[in-house]
Amino acid sequence: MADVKAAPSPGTIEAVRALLAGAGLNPPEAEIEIMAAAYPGFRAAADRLYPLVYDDDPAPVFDPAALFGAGPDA
Amino acid sequence: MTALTIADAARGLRAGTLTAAGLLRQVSDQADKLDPQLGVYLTRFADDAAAAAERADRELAAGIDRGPLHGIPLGVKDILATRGWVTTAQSLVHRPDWWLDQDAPVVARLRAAGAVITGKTTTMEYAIGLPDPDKPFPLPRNPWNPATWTGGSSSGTGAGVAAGLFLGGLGTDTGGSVRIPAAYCGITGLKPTYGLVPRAGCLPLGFSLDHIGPMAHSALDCALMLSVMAGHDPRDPAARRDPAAAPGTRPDYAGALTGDLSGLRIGIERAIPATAQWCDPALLPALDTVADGLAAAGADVTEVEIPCYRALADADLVIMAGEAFSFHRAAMTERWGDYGRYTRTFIAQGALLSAADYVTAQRARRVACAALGEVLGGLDAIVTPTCATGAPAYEGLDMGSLMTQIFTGAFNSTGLPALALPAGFTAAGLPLSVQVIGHPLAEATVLAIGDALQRRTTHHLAEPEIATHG
Repeated sequence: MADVKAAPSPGTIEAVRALLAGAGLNPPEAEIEIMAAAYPGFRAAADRLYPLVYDDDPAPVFDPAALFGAGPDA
Repeated sequence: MTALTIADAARGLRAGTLTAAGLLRQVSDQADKLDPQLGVYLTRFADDAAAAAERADRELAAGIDRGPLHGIPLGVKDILATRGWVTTAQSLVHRPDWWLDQDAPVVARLRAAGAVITGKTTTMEYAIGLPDPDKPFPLPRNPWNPATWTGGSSSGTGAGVAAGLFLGGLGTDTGGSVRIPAAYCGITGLKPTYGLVPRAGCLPLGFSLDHIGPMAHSALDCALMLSVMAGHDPRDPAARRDPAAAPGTRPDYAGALTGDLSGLRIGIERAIPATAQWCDPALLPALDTVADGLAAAGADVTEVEIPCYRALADADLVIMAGEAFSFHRAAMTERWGDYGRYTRTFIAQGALLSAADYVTAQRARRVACAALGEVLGGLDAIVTPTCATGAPAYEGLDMGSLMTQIFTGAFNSTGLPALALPAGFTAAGLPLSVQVIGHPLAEATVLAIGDALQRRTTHHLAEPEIATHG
């Protein structure tokens, strides 16, 4: 996590404001800045995971039989 | 003074030196005295608890013994449903009729075992964020020093056990919310294997990371509670069906606690604390003492390093934010201001992450678990600190700094059982803690390791001064 006391850059604030608005959230400016200060930490946590899965199977397991029950031919 | 454990109280109830009604009076007096200062309860069930205690005494006198929890006062974190009582999630947002007419299965099981539920305990709103002085809820304070925080989010349960307002209680753990307050409050807390304890009637935070666990003074007490709590319930789709989780075929958790660790191979992990901004100087010496205690109990102790620790912790953070925002988005778009500021600004981070981020975190979680499995395969358990320091001061608490000082979230990504237990004190007299991580469904082993250490130390029985002198 980033230090939430670090001042976020104007670009980060703008990006966070846009992403929040896209999700239907329009918080006060002071709170956008708080989230923008924390965002680089979350972003870095997500970004660090991509190289780890590069050679892994592409998707989590999905099993329709577990959801619907096995069909009559099973 | 030493703390009264569930096991001791159970013996006293059967020996006739205690009654359930007397025990309830004792903890209720303690709550009357300390709750205004410590902020343990959101709701107290005074009449219901008195009726349950009287019933327990009547039944025990008639030879009806429901087991070691019969007549024992327990607290329940207020994100778990209790029949007839509103679950608030410490939030202005939560619907008051949610699960109002029924107990969560885990609460129902405790009641059926004769436990006396004393009330609902404080949390952070929806189990995430920080204590929020702007909202109309009590602020939980640490009995070891009320100028410090209890940790969270099972804050009230942690403080309540430590200060003697009940003998045990329920917490929930998505990134450490059982183990962190257990660590800061000097008690023992277990995050069981994912799916071992059903989560129906428990408000979700991150549904693929959420666990319900017991919190009490000792590993033995946690074992006694888990024996009642564990087992399948169809209302939780992730609840395990295996025989190792089922009553009758699962291990005897309490019976496994012999004090003898002969034949067990236990890895001591010292690298994780180096990821913190700062560690208390007493922490690594405390870990050394734990290693010596394990060896003295007969374990083969070795040094290990957990691979992919950072990835497991990162995955916990990303998945938690994504799953929490999925649950809260609809309400949050309508009622932003009704959420507490720390809760809303954390959960809204989920809006800043992409679908690919979430899927990648779930994939990375599997890859990292496989890497950890390579190391764990040669061991029975791994021991590492729970947190870098004692309880942080209330003044100046901030989420970013705090997240670097806790070592718990990685083990939510693994779903493995993890037991936090007291391991000594800082120079300022605040509790320190280690956690024992074991194989899936190896709660008996994890608890046996904790118990073996507690047979050789008294940290878990130490009481904060406020508990004895007010």
